[in-house]
Amino acid sequence: MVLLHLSDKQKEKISLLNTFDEKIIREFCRISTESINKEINTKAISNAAAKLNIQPPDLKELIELITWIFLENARLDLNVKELKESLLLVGIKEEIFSEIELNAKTNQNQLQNLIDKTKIETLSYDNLEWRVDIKLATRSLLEIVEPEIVFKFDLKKGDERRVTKVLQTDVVNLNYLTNSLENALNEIKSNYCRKVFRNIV
Amino acid sequence: MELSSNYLSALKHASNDDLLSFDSFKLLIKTIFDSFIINSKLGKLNPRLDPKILEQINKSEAELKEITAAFYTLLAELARHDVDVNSASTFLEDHGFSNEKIKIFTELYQEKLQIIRLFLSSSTSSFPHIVDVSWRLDYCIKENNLERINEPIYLIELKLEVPGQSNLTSLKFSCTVEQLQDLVFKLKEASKSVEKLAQIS
Amino acid sequence: MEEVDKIIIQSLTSIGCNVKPDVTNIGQFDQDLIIESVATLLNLIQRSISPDAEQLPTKLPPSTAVKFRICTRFANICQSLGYKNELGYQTFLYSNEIESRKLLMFLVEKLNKETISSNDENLSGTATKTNKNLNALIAEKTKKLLNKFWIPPYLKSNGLRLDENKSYIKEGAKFESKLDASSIKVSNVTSKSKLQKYDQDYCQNYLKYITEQTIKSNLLASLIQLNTLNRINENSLINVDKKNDLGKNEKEQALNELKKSIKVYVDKVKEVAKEQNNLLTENDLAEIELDSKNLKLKNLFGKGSRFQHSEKLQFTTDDKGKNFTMATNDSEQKKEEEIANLKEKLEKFNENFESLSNEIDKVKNEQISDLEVKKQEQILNNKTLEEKIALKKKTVNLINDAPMNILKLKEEIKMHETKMNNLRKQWDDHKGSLKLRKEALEAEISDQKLRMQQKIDETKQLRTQINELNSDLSSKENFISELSKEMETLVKSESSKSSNRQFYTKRIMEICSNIDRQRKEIDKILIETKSIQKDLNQMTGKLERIFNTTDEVIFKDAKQSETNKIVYKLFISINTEYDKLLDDLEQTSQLDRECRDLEDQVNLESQNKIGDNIQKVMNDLKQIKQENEELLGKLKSKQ
Repeated sequence: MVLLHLSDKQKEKISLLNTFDEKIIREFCRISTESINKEINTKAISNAAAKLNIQPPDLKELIELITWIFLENARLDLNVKELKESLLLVGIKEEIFSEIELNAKTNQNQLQNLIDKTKIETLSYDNLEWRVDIKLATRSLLEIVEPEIVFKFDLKKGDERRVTKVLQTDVVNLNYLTNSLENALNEIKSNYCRKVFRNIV
Repeated sequence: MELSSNYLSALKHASNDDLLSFDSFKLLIKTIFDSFIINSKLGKLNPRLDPKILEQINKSEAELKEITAAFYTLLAELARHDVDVNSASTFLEDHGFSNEKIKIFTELYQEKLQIIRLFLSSSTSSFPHIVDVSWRLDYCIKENNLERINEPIYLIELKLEVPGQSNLTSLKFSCTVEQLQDLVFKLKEASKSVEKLAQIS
Repeated sequence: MEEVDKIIIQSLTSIGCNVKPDVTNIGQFDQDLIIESVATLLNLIQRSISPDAEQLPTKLPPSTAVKFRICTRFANICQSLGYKNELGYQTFLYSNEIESRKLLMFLVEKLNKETISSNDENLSGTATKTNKNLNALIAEKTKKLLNKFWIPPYLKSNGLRLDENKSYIKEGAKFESKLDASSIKVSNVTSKSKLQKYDQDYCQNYLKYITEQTIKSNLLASLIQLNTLNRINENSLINVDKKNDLGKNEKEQALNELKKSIKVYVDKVKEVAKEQNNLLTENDLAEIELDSKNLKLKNLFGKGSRFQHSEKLQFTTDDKGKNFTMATNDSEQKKEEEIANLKEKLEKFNENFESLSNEIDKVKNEQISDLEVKKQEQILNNKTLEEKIALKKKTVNLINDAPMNILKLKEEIKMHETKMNNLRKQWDDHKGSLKLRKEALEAEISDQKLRMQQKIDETKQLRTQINELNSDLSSKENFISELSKEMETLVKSESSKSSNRQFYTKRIMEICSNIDRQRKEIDKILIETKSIQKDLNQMTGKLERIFNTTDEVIFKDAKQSETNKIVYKLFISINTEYDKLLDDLEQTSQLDRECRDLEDQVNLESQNKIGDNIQKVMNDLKQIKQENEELLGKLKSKQ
């Protein structure tokens, strides 16, 4: 079982959070979800802080706390039980938790996708197009018959950048390539792999 | 297939038994044919002639130079058009070569035709050529920003021969199981279409 | 047998043996003919089995020993082809009708089988070669490649894979490179007999072998390129020559036209020049002079302004310098800094000055040269002006004696005018007639031109038509010849084959019916003989029985009287005599049969021409002995 570990400072903020009712918490959640995609509107915060009768920096910290909970929830891939356990442990009110949990659940996927983009960048396969050519003549050599297979590999680096590689091969190597990669694909169904996967999960 | 007039005159010169004896002709032709050797040290397929061997021939160097040039051109053009032995011998006959000379020429020509065509085929442009593939199956467990991923990842390395480079280069990319399935499916399609090619009659 | 002979002779003539028309059966074949036919048959059979079989001689050499050797070889070949009967050199050299018939029959039969099968093969072979379309080629190639197993790249040097039959398969691109042809130099010693000495020296001593000229680039590609370029040059040269030949007339026409147009142009220029000259009056001259003066002045001013500019620059710097020196009182540090600044500036200005002065020099030079040119022009102008002035002076002189001169001039003018009028009238007359003529001629010329154009077009058309027709004709002729050839071969094969086949079937049917008839007859005869035998047996039985009874009766009687005894004895003797007679009869018939057999054998042997052949063998033996002696003699003499 994985738990969230909150620092003492964060625990204090939780107790501050407990002083607000659900509606306000819902509003906080909304603001923090928005803050994932864009900058926090300081003016709105200061307005809200004035209404709630607290200092704007405090309010900002509260929202940041909620954002942090969301992110950790996504990063550690917590389930509901784990999240509840770890938040109730630091003394959050039941109603406030259910509000936070609801929001955390809805944005978990979105956040995980965002985190995914920060992983180590390798070229990853995106698409393949192929073509079978028969070379019939070149400037220096006429009357040949030579089958050739041309590939266009579309590869992705990170999320945005695309790399296109044009390669070619002959019949023998094509068959070898196909067979070896098919073997690779079948390997994942092998007993050994299954055993490893099962034991890790 | 045609040769320009200066080569034809050189060939005529070489066909004359009084100007170039059979033994000299044999030595000359043999050295020319023997110069088509595949030498792995040289990056290029280029015939190399050792002029010292030709010093044995009792003939002025200027004429020898021209005759070798003519014969190299003749071979290049014959092989370029994939002229068979019979047509080659009629060509020589038309240019006044004696039967003895034609015989020695055609024997060597038959033996070396494929290699000369290989030499000719070397000057072409092509994409990097896939010659080997290696793969690795990883099971990704954790990343710095994301935990409990638990996803198999294939790392695939295509080994490539790039024209004019003696060392293999490689193209590495990763793909998920689904992506590899896609890749293998497309490769199989390509293999099948090549097999279909073989069945056309 | 005649039928068989006919068939054999027909097939022999069809394969090209020289059988004379008066030879109708194999008995008439002589030795040479048999040898020739057997040799050609064997050649054809062997070639159909293996195409590179050795050709056998169709005629025997005069030497007898060689004859024997060749004939034994023939015999061996025939036996290796599956001939079962006895065979040796004698069959060819001392032929008899039956054996040679058997042999020829076997060979002709064999030939038909072989040629039919090999023809089929050839047909299919050529069909695959010529009809092998691209698809089939591709299929073949890919099939070959698909059967290959994979080899890791480090085992393939240069990315090439060595095939079983010593050819290479490309499985990689390592050795590939762009078609990098470089220009190479090839001498031209053999085609030109007379070469400059230095050229020859160069080719002999300094020109490199082509393989060494292209170490970095690709030799074969360079050679192909050079050859192509040379050929293009040659072709274009040839074309130019042709064009020269064809277009001589056209060229002359073009030249004439060009000349005409040049004349017209020159005339026009002359006219314009005249007009301009006419326009040049004194005032103009004065103006021109003024202009040129102005120009000079302007140029001078131009120069001046530049000088002034540079001077101004200098002055301003000096002024600034003065200003700065005024400011020195404030602080010395500033001063020094400023001095340094100023020095820098000064240097800059100096540089500027230098560059400007350079420019000025340049400009000066340019302008001086310009002016010199203009001066030349001016001098020329001056000359023309001087001439005009001289003319004016003359007129001025005339004006001095004004009234008289005017009168004189007026008279002269009047005279000239009247003269002029006359001349004009005459000219008008002439002009009118000439104009008419000219117009008529021009019309004619234009007409002719049109007609000519038409004719040229027509001829052109005709020429193209002729060319087309010619090419058509030649292609059609080729086609016809091809077709006729095909026709001939077809007719030959058709006729010989079909006639042969029909003939065979007919004969076979006839023979079958013959055999049937004969069998029936034989059956009939057999039945008859059987019935006769039966009758015979019955008769002999009857005879025996009669004999026995008579024997008994006479024997009884014989006991009664002597005469009867004699009768009995006579009876017995008659019986034994008859028995003997019968035996003799049987023996004679047997002998008869033997006799007939022997006669048959004699006939057979006589057919074999043994006497002749023995004679021939003896002769050959003699000859061989002679040859041997000769050879021995030669050997001895050589030793």
